[in-house]
Formats: sequence, structure tokens, C-alpha cells
Amino acid sequence: MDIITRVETWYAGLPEDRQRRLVTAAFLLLHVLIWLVLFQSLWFGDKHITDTPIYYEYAGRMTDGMLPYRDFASEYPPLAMLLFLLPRLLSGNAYGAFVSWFELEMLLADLAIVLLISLAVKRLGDRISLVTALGLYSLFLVSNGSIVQARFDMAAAAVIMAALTAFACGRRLPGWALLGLGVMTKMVPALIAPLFLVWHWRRGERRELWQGPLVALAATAIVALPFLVASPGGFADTFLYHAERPLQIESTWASPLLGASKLFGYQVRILNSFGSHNVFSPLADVFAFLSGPATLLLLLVVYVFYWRYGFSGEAEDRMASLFYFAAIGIAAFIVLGKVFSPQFLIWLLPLMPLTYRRAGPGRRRCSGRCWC
Amino acid sequence: MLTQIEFPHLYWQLFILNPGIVAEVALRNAVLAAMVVVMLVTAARENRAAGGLEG
Repeated sequence: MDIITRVETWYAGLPEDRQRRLVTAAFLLLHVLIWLVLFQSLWFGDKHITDTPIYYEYAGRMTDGMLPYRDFASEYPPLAMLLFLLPRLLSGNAYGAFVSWFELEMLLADLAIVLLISLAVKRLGDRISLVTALGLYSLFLVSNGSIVQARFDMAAAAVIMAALTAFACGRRLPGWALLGLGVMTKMVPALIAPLFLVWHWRRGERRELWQGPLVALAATAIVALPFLVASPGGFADTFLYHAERPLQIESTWASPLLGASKLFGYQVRILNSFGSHNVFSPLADVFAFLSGPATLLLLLVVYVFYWRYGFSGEAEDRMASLFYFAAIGIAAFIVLGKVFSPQFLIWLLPLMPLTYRRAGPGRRRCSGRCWC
Repeated sequence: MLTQIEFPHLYWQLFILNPGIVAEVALRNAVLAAMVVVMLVTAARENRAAGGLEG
């Protein structure tokens, strides 16, 4: 008997829970190697466009005793600011050490996602194997590149995944609480709230229908209150900042304008503002205005589809639908938004492996996110 | 994957409106838009195949 056959026989003889723990541990190790080895080499080592100097700067102001939103403006919510402060407290003024600590923080968020996917797959029954789910997640992570280390969006993705997993595992109110905390990290987890409401409505969970949003609001308030009291206007500017941004160069709306400028000589100007490169022209202003209503309309379609089509089949199918429609909602927000920064795709990474849909007995289909 | 081709290595090519990179980013956006539509249609079709509105 050769060594592979021996290992296979040994693995097959293990209890299911032990197999699951073993696979999860192997992927945790793999992700540590991806972050520490792969992302430092080949083309992944190219990190010349990064946001870490901004994070370092904001963290420095906080260690100097300044209060965000009151003493200086910031476009990031309070828990994101905490993610910048912790590495700065550990690194002092050394920027290189700050980056290393920050990357470690994002690695921890990535490892948390591996654990959450393992937990979610267990709840989804036989819809997808753990090896396939974690293998796809690893593939998507590598496909996204080392940008996952240089932005705090990995933490936002982990909170989204934690809220959805808690909710799907029957911990409805903790799911809502995580959603509230998620909004204080990045606004995007708010897109999940209507899905939770639809779930409660369709499942007849009338008490949770008002308790859930209340818990989310309480979690948000606990974080936001000190800053709201210190500077209501400054804190509100954090969120208004994003509404006021112009049409970003990589957005779906900008693509036809840039194409028209090359093909037909349509005049556009590319200028730097709001921390990104943006397109300016009369049509760009119209598109920027339209992006808001168009995104809202598409999101409404997604929520209506979830209400209509998300609740057939068994309990596992309903849970899978929650992850599936969460992925569609976030993708819809990205694709019709007036800003499409590359790091936005990080929000989708943990959800996409769970979007496999059963296409018939024993057959499953992939949504095809790997190409985006 | 399409994002990684453009960012960060070729980002400045987009800034100067290199036609190839403009097209590549447009393709990335079109694929994501198509994915949203396909996922919605798939959900509706599978629901009908499973016997319609339940819950």
C-alpha cells in the first residue's frame, strides 16, 4: 500500500467532525503561507498603490490625542479607525512596522473568514464540500491579489460573513448586532439588513422583525455615540463624503465615457479628488446623479427576488439563499455605484464559494465570480 | 482576476486612457453586471423548477 492510499484510508476512517477540523486547519495554514510567502513574491509584491500611508497618518493623529471627526475629518467609520489605531500603538512611529502589524490584522480577518466558511458549510449540509468551498475562497483570494493586505476591506468582509453565519445558524439577534458593528466599520453591511427583514417576515418571526433592527441600532449607537456627542456635524460628514463623490475612473458608469473619448473624441477630464481619480464631463455629472437611484432600484429588485424566490426547499436551501442573495446585493451595489475601487471585490470573496446552486441531484453550478 | 490584471500594475495606463486597459476595465464591469443578472435569473428558474413560491 503506497503512502497516498494509506493517508486516504486513515482520513476516511476519521469521524466527520475531525475531518472538518483537519481540512479547516490545513486551509488556515495555507492562508498563512499565502500571506507571508506568496503575497511577498512575484507580481503580488507590487504594492506601490496603497492606502496604508493614510491609515498611518490618521492613527498618528489619534495617538497624538486628537479625536476623529471633531479634531480632524475622516471618511472612515469609528471601527475602521480602531483598525488603524491598533497597529500604530504596536509600531510607534515606524511606518514599516505599522504596515506589518496592519497586514497581520488583515490576515487575522482572513483566518476568521476561513473558520466562518467552515461553520457555514456545516450548516448548509451537502450543498457544497468544505474542501471545494475553502479551495474556491483561496482561489478568489489569490485572484484578487495582495490588495487584500493593503486595505481594511478584509475586516468588513469578515464582519459581513460573521453576521450572515450567525443569522443562518439561528443566532438572529447576534447576527443583527454584528451587522450594526459592521456598519461602523464600513457602510456596505447595511445592504444585508433588508435580507434579514425579509427572512423574519417570510418565516413569521414577527418579534424579531422589530427586535433585530433595534439590536443593530443599539450596537451602532454604542460605537457612534461618543463621536456623535463630540461632533455631530463632523461625524455626519463621514457618511456624506461618500454621497458627494464624483464618478470614479473604474466605475461601470465611467467605462462608456472613457470608451467614447477614445472612439469618438468625447471630451473628458480626469482629475484627482476625494482620494481617487474621477471623470469630469457634463455626462459624467448626469451619470453620477443617476447612479444613486439606479443602484437603489436594482437593490430593490434583488430584495423582491429574495422575497419571491429565496424560501423554497429545505432549511439548508433557505440558508444558502441568504448567502446567495447577499452576494447578489453586494455585487449590484458595486456594479452600479459611482465608485468601483478594486478593494470592493474583497467584500464578495467569502460569499462567492457559498453561492453554488444545486442544479439537479448531485449537480452544482458556479456563479462565475472568478473572472471579475 | 480581471481586476488584478489592471490593478495595481496597469492602473496608470487607465489614467492616461490606454485603449486596451479602458476596454479591459469595461469588460470587467460588464462581466460583473452579467453575473448579477445571471444569478437573479438562476434563482427565479430554480425556484420555478422546485415548485414555485413556498415558505
